[in-house]
Amino acid sequence: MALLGQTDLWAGIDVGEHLFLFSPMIVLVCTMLAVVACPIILGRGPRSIATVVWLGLGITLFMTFRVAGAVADGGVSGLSTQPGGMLIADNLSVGFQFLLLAFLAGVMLMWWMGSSATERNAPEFFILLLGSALGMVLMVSTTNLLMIVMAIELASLPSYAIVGFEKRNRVAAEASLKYMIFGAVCAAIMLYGASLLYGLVGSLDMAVIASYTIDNLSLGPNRVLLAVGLLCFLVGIAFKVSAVPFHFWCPDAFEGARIEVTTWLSVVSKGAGLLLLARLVTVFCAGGGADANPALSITFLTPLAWTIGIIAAVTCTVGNFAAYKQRSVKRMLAYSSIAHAGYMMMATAVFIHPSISGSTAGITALLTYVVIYLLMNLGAFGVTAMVVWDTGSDKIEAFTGLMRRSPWLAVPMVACLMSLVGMPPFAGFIGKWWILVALGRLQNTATSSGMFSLSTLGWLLMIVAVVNTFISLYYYLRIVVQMMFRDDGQRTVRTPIVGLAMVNGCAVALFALLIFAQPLKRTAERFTRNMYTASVEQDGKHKTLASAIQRGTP
Amino acid sequence: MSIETLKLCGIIILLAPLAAAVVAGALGTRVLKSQTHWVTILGVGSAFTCSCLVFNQVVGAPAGESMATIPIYDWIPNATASMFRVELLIDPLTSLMLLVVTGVALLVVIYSRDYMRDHGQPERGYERFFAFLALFVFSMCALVLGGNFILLYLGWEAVGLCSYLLIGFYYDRPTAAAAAKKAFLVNRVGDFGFGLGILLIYLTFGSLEYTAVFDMVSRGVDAAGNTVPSSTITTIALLLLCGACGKSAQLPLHVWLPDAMEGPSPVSALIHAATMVTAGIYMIARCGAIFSASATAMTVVAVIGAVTALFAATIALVQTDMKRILAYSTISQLGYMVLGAGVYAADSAVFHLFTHAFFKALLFLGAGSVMHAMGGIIDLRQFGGLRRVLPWTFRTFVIGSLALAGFPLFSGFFSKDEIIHHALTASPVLGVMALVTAALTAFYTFRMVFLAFWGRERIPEGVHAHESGGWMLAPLMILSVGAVFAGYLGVHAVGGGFHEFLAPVFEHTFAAHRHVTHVAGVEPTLWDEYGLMVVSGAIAILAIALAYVLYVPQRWFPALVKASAVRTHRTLWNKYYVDELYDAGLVSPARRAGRVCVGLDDYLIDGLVWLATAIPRGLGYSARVLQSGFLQGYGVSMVAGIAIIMMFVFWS
Repeated sequence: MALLGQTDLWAGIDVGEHLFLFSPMIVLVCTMLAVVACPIILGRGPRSIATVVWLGLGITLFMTFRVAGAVADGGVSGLSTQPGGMLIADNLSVGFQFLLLAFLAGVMLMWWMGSSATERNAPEFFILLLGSALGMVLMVSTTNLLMIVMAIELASLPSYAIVGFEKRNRVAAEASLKYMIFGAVCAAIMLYGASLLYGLVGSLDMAVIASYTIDNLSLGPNRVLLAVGLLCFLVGIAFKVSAVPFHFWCPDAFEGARIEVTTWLSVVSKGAGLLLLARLVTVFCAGGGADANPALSITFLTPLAWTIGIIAAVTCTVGNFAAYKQRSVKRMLAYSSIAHAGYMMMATAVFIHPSISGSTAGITALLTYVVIYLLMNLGAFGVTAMVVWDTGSDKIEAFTGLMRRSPWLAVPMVACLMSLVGMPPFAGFIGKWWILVALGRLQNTATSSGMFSLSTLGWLLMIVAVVNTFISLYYYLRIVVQMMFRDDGQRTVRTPIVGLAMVNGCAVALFALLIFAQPLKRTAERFTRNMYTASVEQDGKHKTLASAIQRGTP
Repeated sequence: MSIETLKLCGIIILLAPLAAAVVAGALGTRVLKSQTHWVTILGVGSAFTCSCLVFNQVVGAPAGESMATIPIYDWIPNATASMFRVELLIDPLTSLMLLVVTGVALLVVIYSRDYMRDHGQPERGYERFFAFLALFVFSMCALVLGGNFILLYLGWEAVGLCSYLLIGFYYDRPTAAAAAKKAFLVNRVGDFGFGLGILLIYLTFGSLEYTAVFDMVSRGVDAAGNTVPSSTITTIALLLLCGACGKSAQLPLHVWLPDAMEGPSPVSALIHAATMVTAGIYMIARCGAIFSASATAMTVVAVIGAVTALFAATIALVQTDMKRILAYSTISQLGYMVLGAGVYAADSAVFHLFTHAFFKALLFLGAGSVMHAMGGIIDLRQFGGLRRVLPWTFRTFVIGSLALAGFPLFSGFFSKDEIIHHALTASPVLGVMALVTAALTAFYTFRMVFLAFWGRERIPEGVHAHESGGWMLAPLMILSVGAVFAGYLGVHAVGGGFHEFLAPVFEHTFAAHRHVTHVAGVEPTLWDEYGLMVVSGAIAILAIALAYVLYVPQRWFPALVKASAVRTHRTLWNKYYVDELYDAGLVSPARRAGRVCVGLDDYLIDGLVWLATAIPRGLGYSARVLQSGFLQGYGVSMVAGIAIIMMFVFWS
């Protein structure tokens, strides 16, 4: 079995087509290069750097649109002679790119309002930001273990640096160091898992590993090896998602980093991790349907679903409880983001079982939730950012009487917080609702019953999600109460008009998405349809076009 | 009919006022300020234009095609069924209601531009007022346009909310705040029944869409084809009637409407006279299939209507606050409409609703004009003889009063006469009650007119009385044209086709059950056709003349009445002590129960909550301990986590 370097890399690959399909990533790389070159040509001013980045993002968006048209009817994998391919371009990866670009624009706006005036190292900041963005895009565009490890590292390494970007800030430096050490440990565990899997299976492609699993269910000791390998690999993803107990970096890093960086990490890095997990699980199941292989379901898929489900439930609960006593709004939102990662992870436990009707419900619910989550977090962090910039404090006391002081900040904040709780007039409700519906679809099949059946898991997760919603109400409402019912006569918050437009836009969008829930779901379905699912050919012949499985709603 | 055009119009009718409300609310205080009214005029004006287009489409539709259900979108679609579909129902009834709602609203908004100003300066909350008005128009349009019971309920509650907000517009005035609260709470009683009725419809028929439900009701079966017992239909109808009693201020839930006059006069004109309070009548007419399927329910409807009409008219006899007289008159007229619906003459009820919208809005706006001129005073004892001071207000007000009194050839005369006619046919008792009410109406209306505009000129001290400006007078004049001529739309002799226009809506419901008045083959006599008209016209004229004799030449009459019939007068003055009765029977016990609940809440519930949150607080604390900031601890926890997961995987 040859690794990349030993084969003729381009043999049999339609290079032009593949380069086109991955052009958004290439443009991102080019933008990074342009940001490197910019100081030489245009100078280090924030304005010129930002212009270059906006331009790059615009071209990336344009290319993403073109790719979206090309892959709408089926996923394509490519840039490899190995079965399965190294990179994937399909509806899901394109959908995530759209989300990432939209969010990147929001983060850029926040940076422009908050940091550009005092920014001395704009080129470095953007190289790091775009680097992590590229890593996240890659995370969602692959099923190859090596690529995954590389993508996660590419997303993480710039993140460590960007968290500690304020070199003179002790808190930031400490957070950055902790984040890095923690990340390094997780990466090591993940690599260990990947090496175990490679040693056992002889391939780095998830689809091959899946088919190997089906063929060798009665492995005996090797089964343990396979499970350990998979679980260790999962640790790396859990670290990105900040699932408990791999979440310890999250509050420190979020509190230490600049607020736009916190915003960035809170949504996209988690979203990328979750979609990666979703993709892996899909591929793992697509290797052989559970109905075709009941034994697989009992020995492997159900325990895996339970593992992911329990991690999700624990993550959700710990995140909410830990948020209870926080005085810093930034830190509270960090814990809230851990809790939300838990909710979203529940949706990945759902479609572990592809034969069950409504298996796309899980991933559709996940994608919808990511969209909504993006809006609520951008809004909530945006308001917090403006309060922090003006008052210099992110403590909850800085929000006292905000309803009187700055109603245009307080109202969107209330909307975003209520949406985070999942209250009906806002889209958070609908996101949670779809996750619950997807969980409810986990039914008992003939092949899985008993205490650890999938339907038990579905009910358990549903109850955990609902109870957690009640718990979370308390700490979100604390901010609302502080804003609306307390007042100590602080002065009005000075706010940039662009920021006001951004947070109010988020609030309006949250309201509108509740009313236009159907178009939202349609869009999410469009981006989860025709997902790339490798059908493995055991003879190892190279294959660029994977079979696209039509995944309509039942 | 072109469905696409109708759909577009429907959407504009809903969204234009909503957008106006949002813009006025969001930009009013900072940007638009004293020009906020333009936004609302634009929004309501667009809605009115589109309503006219819709009306035109419906009128021009070929026979049998004047009804259309237009789906807009599904909300939260599921694999199995749509949870809730937003769809519009456009038929003659809807198009007529739209025209009334948006038309009167447009005039009221124009009127408010000056009314809500004090010496040219906008009052405090000027922009809030216009935002709420636009929101009300949106809600009311949603109510009449909705194609299922959910949208009806949504609009129903939303208009209630707007009514609450606008009654309490002067929220710093304790009476206004109390009135708003009262209106909201009393409506809650009715809406509770209404909500139960809708739930029962869903439980019985498994659907909430008008067309589906009404079809099943008329066939007497549910979705599975089983026969629905008539008692269920009666229960549904009576529960819906609860809602109508609350919203349309019928006995015994009428108490909120007179107090609602604490709101600004344009609000009284639009919401508490012309549109929102008629929602109950609209609902009964819309649910004709349900109501007319139950003779018991129809009897209850008719009796409630007749009793309310008479009851409110007697109270209006002795009140001295112009707006309160008009409020009781509104309750009484709404009673007429309910009575009309109850005797299977829903088209006549809607006809009266239509004419009433013109003359009652006119009267309220006129009263508002008087109030504006008198510096906020509206008590008839404090002013009089304003004929020369407010010439145009006077003229239009008299026109409105003639219409309300049922003076021959004015609009109210025709519509009221029809209802009395149908009531007499159905039951002589109801008919006589309606006739007596008509006499009382004419009397109290002109008592008010004579006290306010005739006699010696009296103006409260320190008030510079002046006629209102063009912004206020123009709507008054337009409405007075309607108050005179709107009635002719229902008169066959001059080519009015009002009833034929509405006929498709009611032909299988009310009209199918109506008592046959003309035996086939027998020519109606002259008496059948015109006898009642002559009688009721004569009654109105006589009552007006009596009011003139008693109140204009010499004002000794009120004192004589007070002296001779002290007890009766006091009973009427105190509105039959209904408020006091409710206070003693319901409000005070509720307050006492409330105090007990507060005690329980403070000690028992709070204690339990504290106990319940002790667990999360403890867990939160331990989570904080775990998050100590030391990396070693993190590492240990992480490894322990992996170990636990692996144990779980291998154990299961």
